[in-house]
Amino acid sequence: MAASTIQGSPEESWEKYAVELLHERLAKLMSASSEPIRDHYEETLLPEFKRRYIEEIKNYDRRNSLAIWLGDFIKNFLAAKLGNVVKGRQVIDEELVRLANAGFELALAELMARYSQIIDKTVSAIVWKNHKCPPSQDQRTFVEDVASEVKLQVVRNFPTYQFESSFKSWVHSICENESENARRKIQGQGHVERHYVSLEELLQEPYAFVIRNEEHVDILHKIFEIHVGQGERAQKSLNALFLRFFDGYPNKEVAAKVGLTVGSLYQLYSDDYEALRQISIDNFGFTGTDL
Amino acid sequence: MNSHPDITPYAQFDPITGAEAARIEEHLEQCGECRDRVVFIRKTNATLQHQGRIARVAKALGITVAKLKREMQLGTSIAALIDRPPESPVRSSQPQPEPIAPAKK
Repeated sequence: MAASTIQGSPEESWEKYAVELLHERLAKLMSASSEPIRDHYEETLLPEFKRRYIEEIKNYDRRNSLAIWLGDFIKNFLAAKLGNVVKGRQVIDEELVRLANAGFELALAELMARYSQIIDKTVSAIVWKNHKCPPSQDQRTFVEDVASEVKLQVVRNFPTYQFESSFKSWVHSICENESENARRKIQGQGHVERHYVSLEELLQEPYAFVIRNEEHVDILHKIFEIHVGQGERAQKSLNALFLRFFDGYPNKEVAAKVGLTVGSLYQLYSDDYEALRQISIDNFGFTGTDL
Repeated sequence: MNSHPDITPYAQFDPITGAEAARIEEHLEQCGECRDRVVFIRKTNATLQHQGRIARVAKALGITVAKLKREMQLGTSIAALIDRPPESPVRSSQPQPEPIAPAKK
């Protein structure tokens, strides 16, 4: 109904026009939210809308048409009531959580419909970026399993959301936690037996161990970066490794270049390989065999 | 209790006595974690060594590491890379491609 078609006395306008116009404006304002949510707000706001209307219509001075007056009245009413809870033509996440906490189950359904794809994409990004998927697992299946668990956790735990950060951040932290939990369940806690190379494989010539998988090579360099962040000693040990293996200097020259005795250099290697391997396991879930 | 020997010199192929090597290998036969430590060290070192060689070859040929790796994936031989006129692309249909492999000691 177009507001310009409104005619008749102010007293008649409530029954004839006001309710329908409120319905239209709400539908437009919340067009990206589902119909049950819009109906909920219409039902909730109607009694107060009627009370305010009856109060305000007494002040209608007929300088403008009733249609214009009514349009402005509804616009101001909705801005005051919904200005903070509707953005981008939909009810904001936090408001849906409040509704769900109040027992309005459809709000939770809307929230989950809104977040289903977001969770899938977020988990996929976290798993891919942080190499959470253990090498023994199919990455797509791993992501699907984690995303399903995240959705369950959101449904179970939304009453514990404290509104301290955005709901989106809260969900993101669950995605991160569940990705790590899933990795640990498979790898970190030893639920799946690790596969180690045999002694015979170890006795092969050294170049059989060059990492060919480019992603794993990237991980190795990320391990170096994390290690270097641990301080000056770590930087020195990494310099020594690069001098020895990347540049090909013999140990004696490496020791001289980093200011150590050869004996200390050996000790540096012994300590720091273990530190590097631990970073690999803790941060990427990769043992030496997996790498 | 730490009953694991220091496997680093063994893993790095540093000079150790035959008796020491035998003692470590006896331990490695029983200990998967230490075998994994050896693998980690060898993969780290071998990969750094490999990358160092690639970087030096690329530098010598005056091309980027990425370009060299691409040619290696195409099966281009070092000879083809060396013989090419400066700044000219290398044909991928070079006869008898010989991928660059790290030299064996």
